[in-house]
Amino acid sequence: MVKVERITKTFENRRKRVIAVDSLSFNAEPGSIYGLLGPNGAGKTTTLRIISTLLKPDSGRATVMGFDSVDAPTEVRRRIGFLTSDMKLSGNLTPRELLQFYGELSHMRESEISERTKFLSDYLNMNDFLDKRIGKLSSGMKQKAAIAVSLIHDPEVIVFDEPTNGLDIITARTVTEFLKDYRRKGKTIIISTHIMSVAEKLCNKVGIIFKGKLVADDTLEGLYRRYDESSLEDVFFKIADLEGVTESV
Amino acid sequence: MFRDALIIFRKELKNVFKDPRTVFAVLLLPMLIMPVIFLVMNVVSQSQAKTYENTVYSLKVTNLPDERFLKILEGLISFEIVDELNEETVRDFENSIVVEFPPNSAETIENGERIDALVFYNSTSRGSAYGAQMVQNALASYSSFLLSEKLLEHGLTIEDLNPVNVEKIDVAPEESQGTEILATLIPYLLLIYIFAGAMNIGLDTTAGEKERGSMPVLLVNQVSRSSIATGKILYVMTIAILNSIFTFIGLIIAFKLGGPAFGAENLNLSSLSVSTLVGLFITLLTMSGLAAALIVLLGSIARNVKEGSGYVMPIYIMAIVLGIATMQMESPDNPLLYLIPLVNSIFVMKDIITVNFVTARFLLMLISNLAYVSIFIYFLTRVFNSERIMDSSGS
Repeated sequence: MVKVERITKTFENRRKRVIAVDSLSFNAEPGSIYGLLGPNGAGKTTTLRIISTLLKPDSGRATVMGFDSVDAPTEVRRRIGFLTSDMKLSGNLTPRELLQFYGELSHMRESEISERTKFLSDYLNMNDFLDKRIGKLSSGMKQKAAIAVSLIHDPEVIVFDEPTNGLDIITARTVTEFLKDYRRKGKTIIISTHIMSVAEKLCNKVGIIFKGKLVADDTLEGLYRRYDESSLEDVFFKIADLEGVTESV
Repeated sequence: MFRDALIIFRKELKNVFKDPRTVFAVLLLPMLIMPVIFLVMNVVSQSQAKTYENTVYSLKVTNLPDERFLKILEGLISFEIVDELNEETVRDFENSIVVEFPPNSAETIENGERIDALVFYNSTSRGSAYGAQMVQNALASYSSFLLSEKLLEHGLTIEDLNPVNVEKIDVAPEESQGTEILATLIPYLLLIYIFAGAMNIGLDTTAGEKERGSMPVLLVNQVSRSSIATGKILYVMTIAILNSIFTFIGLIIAFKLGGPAFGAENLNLSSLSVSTLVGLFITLLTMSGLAAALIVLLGSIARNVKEGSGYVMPIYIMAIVLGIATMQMESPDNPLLYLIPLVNSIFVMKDIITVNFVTARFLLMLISNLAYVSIFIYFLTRVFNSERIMDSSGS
């Protein structure tokens, strides 16, 4: 269970002050996928980074299975697998060595790491490149390795920023299948995306975010009903129109 | 916490040692560079000396007072007399020298008076400069010869002109003798190589990771930020130490190969006993810890490697200046100087190499360096706990 309660986050530089997330709230339940939908710069990544303890909110709170992301960051990190398409694995180590490393950092036993490595390697179809250097892998292979790394400690909550961004069609399919499967396993999953088809295919609940504000938070059916539309794209643009942000989308 | 730091340290080392280019740059290059430089310089200087010895120089002598001067010169270089040469054309002929004695020089010498000999040469031609030096030597020998003749007429020898014979006796302990050149060069080179080794690796593991986007992978792990900071410092420190140790080995090999050819004929390598090496290693350890902590801190503040280089480069230049400034200095007695980072390590290394170990100075250096490292770790942990560590946007 992830609870986001009225979080606000601003960034400042010498020139200006930008409100990235403005009093945003939502809940994500176990066994479901919650999708944050919005244009680039809407505040999706900032929200996910706050949940994952990488950023601290100016006000409000985000809790993961009851643990506050600011007060108990280690407990939160222990329970989440955070992944973003910006997050890259690099260097001379192989996926197996990286899984070993992150397993050790998660204080897993040697036998647990071996078992989990075998499971993830089979599950994500990584056996062919498990012992090849990360630097020599294709971007799809690297993405699979990154997913495996984020799941090595078998987290209860998965936070995934733009899961299919920049992926080829086969790897994108692997990623969406993995998210559906983890939902079946009862995990809490939060994704961000600006691709409507991905959200429609995966999400049980969608939060639509514009300029840091959550303007809609409902199931897909609920959104279609409320806005009298049959596709998420139409719902999205109707809301954008209502919010007066169509031009910026 | 330290267990996590060691896990990070091991992973970083494993990563770096799987790259043959890094292994070459960190270990082999520093070990090879000094011996190769010494060898090349040796070979080049020997071959040049041979070339000069085998060259036939063009010579013009005006108002020659005595054929014996040419006989002496023949013993030093081969030459042919070229009549077209003069003080103007000497720069147009390769390997040419003009020697001009005053008119009636033979009579002047005969009368016991002094003559001036002018040697014209072209300083931009190394052959001409070498030939001129040989002519000068021949003139000096000729002058001594004439002096001996004169003295003999009065029943004296040249030795009679030097009633006091001077002999210097070095009373320094035997193990300290011949260590000056080591004490001059080793601290300077180790300091430079510690920074050179730590700089690239330290920036790559901090600002480089931000640039590549691999930092958040580590930051969302349950490991504490201070463990990440400590692990990265340990890693950079180890590379810096390895770099400097291999430089040290390379320097010793270089001295063995070509030391005497470069004025280090009295070099005492036996002064590098086990206790000296242990003392040097401990000093290196604290100095590289300091460099590593500082570079990792600056690299973590920087948003990318370019910005990080901008922060680290002035410190590297300062280290070079410090190394050069203290090269010829003896270790001072003022204890406050042993609290100044880097300076303290240089002076303590000098003490150790010259076998003048002073426990109080060593302890002051050790404690102050450890204190500085702790302060840097504290600030580094703060940076890792702040959002700045995520900031990888361009400058």
